[in-house]
Amino acid sequence: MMSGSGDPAGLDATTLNCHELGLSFGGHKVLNGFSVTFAGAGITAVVGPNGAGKTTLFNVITGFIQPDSGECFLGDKQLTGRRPHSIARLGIGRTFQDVRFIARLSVIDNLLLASNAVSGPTGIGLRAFLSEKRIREEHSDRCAEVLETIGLTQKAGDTASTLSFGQQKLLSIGCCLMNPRKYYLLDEPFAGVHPELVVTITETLKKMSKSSEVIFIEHDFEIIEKIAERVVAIHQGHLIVDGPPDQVFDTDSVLEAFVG
Amino acid sequence: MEYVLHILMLIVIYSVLAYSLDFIVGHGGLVSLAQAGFFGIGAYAAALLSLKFGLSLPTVFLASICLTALMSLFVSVPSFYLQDDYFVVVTFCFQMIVFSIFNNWLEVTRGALGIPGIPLPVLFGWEISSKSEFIVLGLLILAFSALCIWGLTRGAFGRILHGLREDEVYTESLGWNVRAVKIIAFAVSAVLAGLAGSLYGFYVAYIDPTYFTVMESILILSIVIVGGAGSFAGPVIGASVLVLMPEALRFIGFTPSLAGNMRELVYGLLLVLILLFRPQGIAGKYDFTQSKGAR
Ligand SMILES: Nc1ncnc2c1ncn2[C@@H]1O[C@H](COP(=O)(O)OP(=O)(O)OP(=O)(O)O)[C@@H](O)[C@H]1O
Ligand SMILES: [Mg+2]
Repeated sequence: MMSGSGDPAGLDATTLNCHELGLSFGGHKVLNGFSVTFAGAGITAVVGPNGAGKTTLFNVITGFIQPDSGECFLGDKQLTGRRPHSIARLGIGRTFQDVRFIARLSVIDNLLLASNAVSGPTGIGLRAFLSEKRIREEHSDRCAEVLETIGLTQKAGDTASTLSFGQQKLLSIGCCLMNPRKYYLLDEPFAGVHPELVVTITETLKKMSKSSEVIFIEHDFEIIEKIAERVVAIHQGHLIVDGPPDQVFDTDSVLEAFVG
Repeated sequence: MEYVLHILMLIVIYSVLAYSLDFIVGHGGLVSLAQAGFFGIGAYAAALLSLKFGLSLPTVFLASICLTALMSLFVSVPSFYLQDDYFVVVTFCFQMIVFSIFNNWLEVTRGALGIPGIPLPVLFGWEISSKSEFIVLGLLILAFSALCIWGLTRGAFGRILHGLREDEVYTESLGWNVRAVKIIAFAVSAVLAGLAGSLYGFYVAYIDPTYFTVMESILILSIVIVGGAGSFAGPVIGASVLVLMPEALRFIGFTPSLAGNMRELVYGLLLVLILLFRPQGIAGKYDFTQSKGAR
């Protein structure tokens, strides 16, 4: 089910392959010949000290930043050079480290905005002129399911800006969940969240990983040991270790890089 | 009576313009100073096509729609690459260029002399000649505009526009082609402004470049802000207030020339008061002065 340390032979349609990624910001090398392969199943944690390049890796995979060299593939489809919306539709959803959602819209409207099932790549087309009521009806099951998963059923009608920080994080994950994707890239979903909500987020991630791979950035080793099956450690733009948590956390180079 | 009808006609035309601009400003969060440019393109298209080629009203409208939709690319494509203030500068430049074309392309537009004698429009055998007939045509166009905006803002497309307004990067990450959304939004906006322009050209029967300056763009933007950006009733309310106000000044005893000068002053004052005490406008929900993506 899991690829362990990346099996280059298994290049099927769900394999996410980053090859020799290189990227500098004003002379500072953020990604330095970074290669990694994901198989499309299970839960993978990405670790690394502040500024290691974790968020940048997500930005490169999802098309928000173009790398200077190297490329990413999903199966045989090249991702590098594609625009972010097209990468999302190929099957890679993501959240942001600075939690993003539409503060002025209600929780349910945020979920509806996230759903690509509405119509076409611009949300326009004959279906866009269906009554809003019908769109809501068609989505009601999916929305209820997602709300249940992220524990915000009671808050469905509330304006998103009134949610607590932890709930906002859950909402952004829920928006990601509205579409079936092969990969969910979550940037620090647990950071700054109350322990009680950590449980909800953990359960959500487990559910997401049933039919997709969840790749999440995390600094807390305890959480990682509890849910991740694989850990990818980044340091100074290099991949330094890749393997199951217990093994990775025993590696000297990881201890050196993270604990100092 | 003629006077009242004229005021009514102005309210109708400015309402269409306000709907067209509010679509991108209020719903899409893309502030543009090019609206008078598209207004002018529609007016000049109507004037030239009906005068020189004797085209009928539906053909003129069709040509105006195609032309303004095409010209909107000059504004929508830069919006892929520039945000906020930088983008406003681009729309300002577009407005200036369009104005100088009206003003300097003497062979076609006759420059500052303007184009007189625009023929009365004929719609399927109905010659529109009296003010009240023009108002009927105007109300049809206003209804069409309002219907377009209503249809495009309340469902899926409207939600995506609101997403664009609040956080473009996030909206794109959800899988929405934000560039295509912008192309559609600017095209719709330009087309409606162009239709208002064609209507205006036929109505006044004489146009010259001074009607289509950046000041006119700013007036349209003021109407949107005063009425309430991103609200359905806002454009009509804003247009009514800003068209009626200078007339009211005249009624309370200012001489016409003094009232004309007072107009700018009162507009300015009204705008400041609105932004201070009711930043979302008279009918609006969306606080125009709040920064984007407030999180
Ligand atoms: N758009 C940008 N322009 C310039 N430098 C950038 C940009 N984005 C990231 N960087 C730099 O790249 C380096 C890696 O940043 P990145 O956000 O990927 O780190 P990270 O591993 O996610 O760290 P953290 O754990 O703090 O989130 C940092 O030194 C950062 O300053
Ligand atoms: Mg980061």
